[in-house]
Amino acid sequence: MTDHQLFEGCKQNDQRAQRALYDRYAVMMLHLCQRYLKDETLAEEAMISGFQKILTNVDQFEWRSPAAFTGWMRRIMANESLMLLRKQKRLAGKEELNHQLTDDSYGAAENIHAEGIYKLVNQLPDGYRTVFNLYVVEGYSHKEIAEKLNIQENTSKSQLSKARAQLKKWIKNLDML
Amino acid sequence: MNAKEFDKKLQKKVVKAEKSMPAAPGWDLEKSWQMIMAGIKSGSGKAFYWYLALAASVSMVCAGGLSLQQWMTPVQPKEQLNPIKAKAASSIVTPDVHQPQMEQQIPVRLTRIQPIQTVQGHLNATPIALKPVFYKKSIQPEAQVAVLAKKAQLHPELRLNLSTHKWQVSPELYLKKSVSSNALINHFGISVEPRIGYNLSGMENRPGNPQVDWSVYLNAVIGNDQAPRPWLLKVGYTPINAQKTAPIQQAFKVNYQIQLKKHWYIGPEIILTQGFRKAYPALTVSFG
Repeated sequence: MTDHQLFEGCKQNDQRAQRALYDRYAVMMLHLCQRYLKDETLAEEAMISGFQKILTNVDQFEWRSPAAFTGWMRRIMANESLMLLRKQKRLAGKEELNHQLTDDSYGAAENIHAEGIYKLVNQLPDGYRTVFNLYVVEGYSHKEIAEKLNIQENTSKSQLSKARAQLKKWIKNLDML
Repeated sequence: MNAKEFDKKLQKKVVKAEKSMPAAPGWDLEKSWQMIMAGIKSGSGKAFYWYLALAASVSMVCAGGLSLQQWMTPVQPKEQLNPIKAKAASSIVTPDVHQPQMEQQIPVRLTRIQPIQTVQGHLNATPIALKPVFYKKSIQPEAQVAVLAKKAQLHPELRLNLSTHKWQVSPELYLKKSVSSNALINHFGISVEPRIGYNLSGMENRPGNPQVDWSVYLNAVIGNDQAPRPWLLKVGYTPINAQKTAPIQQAFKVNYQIQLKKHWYIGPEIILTQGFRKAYPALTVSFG
């Protein structure tokens, strides 16, 4: 079944299509939520409520392309993760980078490159990681991020550049790119 | 490698990793699916009750509206249904300017030039019912509303409300109709309530973005201010609010208040949004 067929099925409230959509994207969305939340239980919670929103609001999405549909789902998941993150009060706009690379992250980097990068991103402190995820992976602008996270646009920019610097440093050490 | 290229490379790798990485060993795909379904079903189950509440609210608003309409257009006596008699009755009003209909209603055909006194004599002999009809000048619409409200014995009351839901403040204009004080309800009517507040946590569609939040409610109100403990029940509907860009465009609310002291009312309210899937309980205090 193509994404478009799944989308149409979900619009008709067809439970088989809903299940197929879930089977296809659940793991990917879980990883996405984990990128924001780190904690597996919280990530699962965000993924579950994200899927509930997707399945109940699918009729509000206007089909354009499979990429647009995936992008729409990813944004819902990112929003759900941010809401949970806010609840946990883990978002600190002026967070200092005092995080050291752990042995575990060196271990992660030894795996395939993509997976290693994913794990390195997960090693960033919450504030840096959230801005990095929203800007680089989800494609939000600094203005949108500032609105979403209730921070200054300049804070978003500086957090991104610090996140980049840290990632570059780690990657250079590991010679991954 | 510049920052843009670096970002693009990382973005590709992260998305690729998310697509290819297996789930954590402890994660139960089936259990999560059941939780998703349970959440959706409980949402639709709740929706049934919400729709019942919606139907009740709409019925109340319609019934209130119809009753008000009846008061505003009182039953006319039979003789007033006859337009000629009705017009004749209104001829007591002295006109500013004589209307041209006068000429059409004179039963005498003038075929030759006559002295003005003769024509005047014909006019004087014309029966009252056929005398020219004169109308009062039409009154302005605002004044008409005031006249109708007076006829319907509607008393405007102004209240000021504060809700803990987003700390919204709302002035409210209540058009109140009093009925028999022995009944359970001794007044009812409709009210308009613009609410405004500052939402620190942002809208549903733009979380984390504090902004002014507003809505305009139209309420059906019933209550008893002669009871040992005066009370009010409001059922409101807002067709427009600040979240007009979100999927949620409308909201309903039910608000019950009891009098604490003279002019002071307090009570719970519940606001229902997102197609009755979300309910926000709050506390309201009113003065008026």
